[in-house]
Amino acid sequence: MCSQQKQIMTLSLLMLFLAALSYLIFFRPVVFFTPPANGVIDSIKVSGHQAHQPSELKLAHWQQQTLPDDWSQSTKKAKQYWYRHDLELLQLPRQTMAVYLPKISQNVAVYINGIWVGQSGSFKTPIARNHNLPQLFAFSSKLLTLGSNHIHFKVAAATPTQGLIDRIYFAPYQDLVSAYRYKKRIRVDLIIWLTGAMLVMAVVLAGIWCYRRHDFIYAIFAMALFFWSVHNLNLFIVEIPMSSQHWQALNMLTLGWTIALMPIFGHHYLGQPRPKTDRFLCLYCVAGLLLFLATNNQQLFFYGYLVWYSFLIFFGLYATHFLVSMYLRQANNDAFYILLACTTMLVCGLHDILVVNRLWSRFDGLIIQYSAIPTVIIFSWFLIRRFINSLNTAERLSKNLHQQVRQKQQQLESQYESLYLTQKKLVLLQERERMMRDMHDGIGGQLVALASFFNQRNDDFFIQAQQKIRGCINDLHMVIDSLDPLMNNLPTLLGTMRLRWAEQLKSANITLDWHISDLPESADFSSQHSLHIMRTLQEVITNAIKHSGTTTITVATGIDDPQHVFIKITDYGQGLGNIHSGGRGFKNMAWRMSQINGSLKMSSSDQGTEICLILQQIPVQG
Amino acid sequence: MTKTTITLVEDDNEVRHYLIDIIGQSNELTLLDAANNLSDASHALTQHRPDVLLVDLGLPDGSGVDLIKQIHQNRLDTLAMVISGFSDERTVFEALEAGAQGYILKHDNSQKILEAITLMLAGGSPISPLIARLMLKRFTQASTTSLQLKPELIEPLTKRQEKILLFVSQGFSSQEIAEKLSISYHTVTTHIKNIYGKLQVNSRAEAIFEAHKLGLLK
Repeated sequence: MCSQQKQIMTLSLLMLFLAALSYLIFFRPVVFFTPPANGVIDSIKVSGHQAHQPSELKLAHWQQQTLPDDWSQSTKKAKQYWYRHDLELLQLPRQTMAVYLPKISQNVAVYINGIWVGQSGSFKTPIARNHNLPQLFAFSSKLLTLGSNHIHFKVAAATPTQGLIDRIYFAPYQDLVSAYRYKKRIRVDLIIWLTGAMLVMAVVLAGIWCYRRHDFIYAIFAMALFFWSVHNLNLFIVEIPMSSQHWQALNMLTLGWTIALMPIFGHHYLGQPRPKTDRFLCLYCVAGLLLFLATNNQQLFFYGYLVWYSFLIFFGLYATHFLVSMYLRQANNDAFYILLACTTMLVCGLHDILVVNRLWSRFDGLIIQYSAIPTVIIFSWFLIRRFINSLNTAERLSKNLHQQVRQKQQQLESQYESLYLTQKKLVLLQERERMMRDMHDGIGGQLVALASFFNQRNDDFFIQAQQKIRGCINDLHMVIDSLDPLMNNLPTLLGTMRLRWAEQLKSANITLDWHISDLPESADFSSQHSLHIMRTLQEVITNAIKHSGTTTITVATGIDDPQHVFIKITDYGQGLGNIHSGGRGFKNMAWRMSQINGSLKMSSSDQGTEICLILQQIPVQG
Repeated sequence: MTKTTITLVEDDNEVRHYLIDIIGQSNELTLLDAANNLSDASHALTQHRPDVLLVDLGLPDGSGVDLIKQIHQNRLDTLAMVISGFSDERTVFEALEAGAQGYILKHDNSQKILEAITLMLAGGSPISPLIARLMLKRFTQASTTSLQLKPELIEPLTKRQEKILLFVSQGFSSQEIAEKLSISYHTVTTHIKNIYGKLQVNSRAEAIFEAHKLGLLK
């Protein structure tokens, strides 16, 4: 199934859910309990007398009235009415009796045979508000008498249109209390807990926002939760701290602000800023303050319930359209979850707007507060998830940073180690250079000056002396050259040697056949290493010049099979003859080679001599 | 025929006299001055503007390298040649970087010394395996260190020049290199001379670059 088909299927399921929800809300409202068949009072007498006590009702004019009685649907013009139920008892009950009023608006006092047994709140202005609270009044059966009994109910409302009394139940307390508790739990206690939770969450989110000012959605949702919580107070606060009209206005405002903030939250949360729409919604919220300027309740109900609340339906439809398009365009699951909460709120809100505008039965009560449950759960889940993701990201970044710092530290340590080694090498190099310079400027300079001096004399003694001095100079050259770090390059070492041999070979009329190839440099090629090779080569060349009688010497380099570097010196003279490999010269050369883990091979015949210096495998310099 | 004029700077009396004698033996060379310290030599250089400056590097009042730098600063046409007592290649290399075109060894015989001067006058430049290896390292460094930031300032070696330097560092003579690369002897020596030129250009560029970095130049 492709993703678009899935989305359409999901939206279809949402439609079904909404249809089912609407059916339950509008046509199958929750009844909360099955009333006792003989305890119900659905026919009663009513009087518009403004008496305070039943004893003052002697002159009252009573009319028959069926219950439930919604004052807004009748001709009632007063703010207070008395209801009287006459009861014939053939025998007195023994248990505690009770009167249960599932729905009353807004205040009631109950009298049994003229004796007050309870009231739901103050009858002074502002009158107590009990439109969402069921009422149960228990009394002793001793208040009842055999024969005729009178039960009076004084019902008062802030305005005549708000008055309402549902069917009344008169029965033993035990038969009614469970129904009362059940309804109270669902209609009042649950809402109190929900409101408390919303307020706590609003405070927490506002706190988060204080520390993360750029995360504006926390502030938006905190405000929405706060306004909704204030709106919910109307469902369980009985004694209001202000005039009934202002309380109503505040109640309308807070609902409007809550609903207006929801699309703003959706825009920001889904990363689809709509500044114009947001500005309009804010303007609407500010305009709502005008409700406080209403001169009377009728004006307030018209502008509040009809005009102000009509916008809420419009906002709900806009939010639904926005979320559906987001869901279809971006396949954003969060958009769908918000849509679920939004449409639930829309159906409940529509129901309540119809109720407050007297277009639907008031006996069902208001229900928008219940849509806060999915809304708060979904939005809170989003924000908590977002907060946790932020924490995880922060932790991950911190971990990465820690890792990077550790890596950098390791790099620094390694660089420091490398620097230390380089410095060590530099010190060694400087020391070698100092030695080279000292030898050069000291013994070397003296020898050169002496050679230059003897060069100006032509007798045999001075010529021989000059040759000896040149021998010394060459030897000193070799020592100085061996100290040069560049001599770890074998071809350069050989090239330098060739330069030193040039005069010697020229004097002996010997041609040098040079077959040197590039070879890898060695990192552990010490000056001692170089000097052993140089002295060995010098010995081989000197021997060839002195003893072989050759006219050509070939010097070649290469790498053999097991990766050993070799230097091969071949002369084409008369061979070694009596000078064999067991001789002192050869032993000396072999010893030098062994000092550098190398070896020496020699083969000689009357066609010439070949000496091969085999060096240990030279690791390539990194 | 006009003789090539020479200013000799050598603090060792024996060597100085030896070199004066050798110059005197040549019909093509004439000695203008023979100084034994840096200040006298500097004065002689600017006053007489010789064709060739034979200079020892270790002078009692300074380094002969400063004298070679003076040639470039004063835009003289003098060719500088280092007198190396002991084939001290590293010191010679510094002089080559500063602008010297060649070097001679103090203990060489008169024939070799005159040959070296003639070779330099003919446009050739002597080079030893160690100096070739130092050059190869120097050019590699220039392309990987600070000058990498200003690649337009450095003059890199051509492939052919690199190959020639490698052969020199392995001890091959210019003639042998010419045969190996199937080019003329003259081409090899011209390449070596050009390598000297690039070395000096890069050395100066690097000095300027370093001075910029230190804020000495604006």
